[in-house]
Order: sequence, then C-alpha cells, then structure tokens
Amino acid sequence: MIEALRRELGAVGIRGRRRERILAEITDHLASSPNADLGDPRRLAAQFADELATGAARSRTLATFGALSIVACALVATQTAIPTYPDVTSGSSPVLAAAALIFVVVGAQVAFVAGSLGALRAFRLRGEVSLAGAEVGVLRRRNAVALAAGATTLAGIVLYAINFWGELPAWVSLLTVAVAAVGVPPLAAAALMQLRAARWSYPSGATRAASAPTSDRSRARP
Amino acid sequence: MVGDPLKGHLDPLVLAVVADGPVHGYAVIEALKRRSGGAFALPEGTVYPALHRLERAGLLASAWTVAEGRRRRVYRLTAKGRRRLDAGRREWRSFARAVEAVLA
Repeated sequence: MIEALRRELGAVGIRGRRRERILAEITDHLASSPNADLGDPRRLAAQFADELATGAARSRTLATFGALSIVACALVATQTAIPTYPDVTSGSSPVLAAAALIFVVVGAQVAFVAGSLGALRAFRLRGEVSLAGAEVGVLRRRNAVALAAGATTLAGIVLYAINFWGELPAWVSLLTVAVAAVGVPPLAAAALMQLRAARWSYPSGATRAASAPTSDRSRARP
Repeated sequence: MVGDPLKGHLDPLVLAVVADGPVHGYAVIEALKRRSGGAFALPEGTVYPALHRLERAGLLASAWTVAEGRRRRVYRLTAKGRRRLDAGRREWRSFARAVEAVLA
C-alpha cells in the first residue's frame, strides 16, 4: 500500500516533504489499524491532489498578478522615458516595428484583463476552504493567458528598443532593455509555479462530494 | 452513511472532532464513527486529504509527536478554525430548523 501510494502521489505531482508526511501518516494509520481499508492508492493520491489544489491555485493567481504588476511598471517606465516617439517607419524594420507595437498594445491589454479577472476571482473565493475543480481550472487558464500576454508585452518592449536603437537616445534604449529585463524573473517565477501546478493532475472532484462547501459565492462570476 | 448525505458537512464535522483536543488522523475517523453512532463510517482515506486542506487553509495546525515508538501527526484547532466551526454550527442549526419546519 505504502509503495503504491508513494508512486501514485508522485504521479499527481506530490513529492518531497509533503509526500513523506502523507506516507508517515498513512503508515501510522495502518499500524493503528492493520486491517484498515484506505481504498485504491490512485484514488487516494487523486484526493490529495484535489484537496491541495485549492490553496495553491489562489497563491499562484496572486503571484501571477504580482508579476504582471511589475511588467506593467516596466511598460510605464519605458514609455515615459522616451522623450519623443520616433516615426514608425524610421526604425530598422517596419515589420519589426509593427510586431513590437502589436505585442505591446495587445499583450498589455490581454495581460491586464486576464490578470485582473484571475485576481478578482481569487479574491472573491478567498473565504472558501475548498474550490471545485472547475474553479481551479478557470484560475489556471486565466493565469496561463495572463502570463503569456505579459511575456509578449516584454518581448514587444525589447523589440521596440532594438528596432529604434539608432533613433532613440542610447540611454533610453539601454534603460528600456534593462527595465524589461527586470520583469523577466518575476514572470518566469510565476510561470514556473504554474507549470509545477500543472503536474498536479486534477481528478474528477469526487472528494468534493463529501467535503464541498455549500456557499453560493464560489459560483458567482468572475 | 457516506458520500452525498455528507456533502458540504465534512469540514465542520472534522473541525468539531479536533476541537475536543489535539488528535491524529486515525482518531478523527474513529471519533466521527463513534460520535455519530456509526452513521458516519467514512472511507478511511477520505479524512487525510481533508485534514491537509484544512491545515493549508489555516483552520488546523499540526505537529509531529512520538507515540508507541511511532511518529504521529497530531492536529489542533486554530483560532480561525474555531471561528469557522462556530459559523458552521450556526449555519447547520439554521438549516436544520428550516428543514424541520418544512418536513414537520
């Protein structure tokens, strides 16, 4: 039972100290009641993944929002540092200029909307001890979209600086690249959290049948 | 009684058991069974994931102890957990009164 559960917990992404603690508790349980029926190890591991997904989903959403806030500050700083906007056609490549503008304009708006909706939802659900699988799925998708859009925005900022390198004062170009680089670590950290969470395969939500809260607030949008 | 009849009520039930004093997972299951007169014979694995979630939510705290030569994780109620339990009790009484009023 213990070895099978160890494998199954690993399969749903629960490893390290959390897994060792679960195994120690189950070992103690079996020592207290040798004939205990703890059920299928796969189902038990899935229940742990299910239950632990709630708090993690909220913290990842807030981390995503925090990273996007830094990207937004980077964007504002770079735009306010430019003394005079150069003509779009004056850069090294009109295609690069168009791509940079699209990346910045569209990326920033999508990141703002997805990030804000995700954070708002996490805020509204702050009192819930457990979230339904669908709620966690919505938060994950919004985080993924927001992070991708944030990365696109940063790429657009850098493309802009490269394209207008000769047209802008050197210090502005360097500042633009440097400020954009500041946004990379928090964005990468938030993306890493998201990727780690994706390993926690979210089961059918069967556990919710026994433990879901009855509050209607969790069903409210956004 | 397992599954659907307990829908939405496992958390306050677990909190109520832990409110009596520090307790480990197996004892929670036994207490639920005993205090419900055998009605809440939950699948034994069900309670551990719920205990972990309640701890993550700050409603329970836990620590390792050694009992009979074995490491044992013991859970206790936090102040936040106490407030949640009180709220759960009020909600349940209100709900039970309403159901009784309709069914009677």
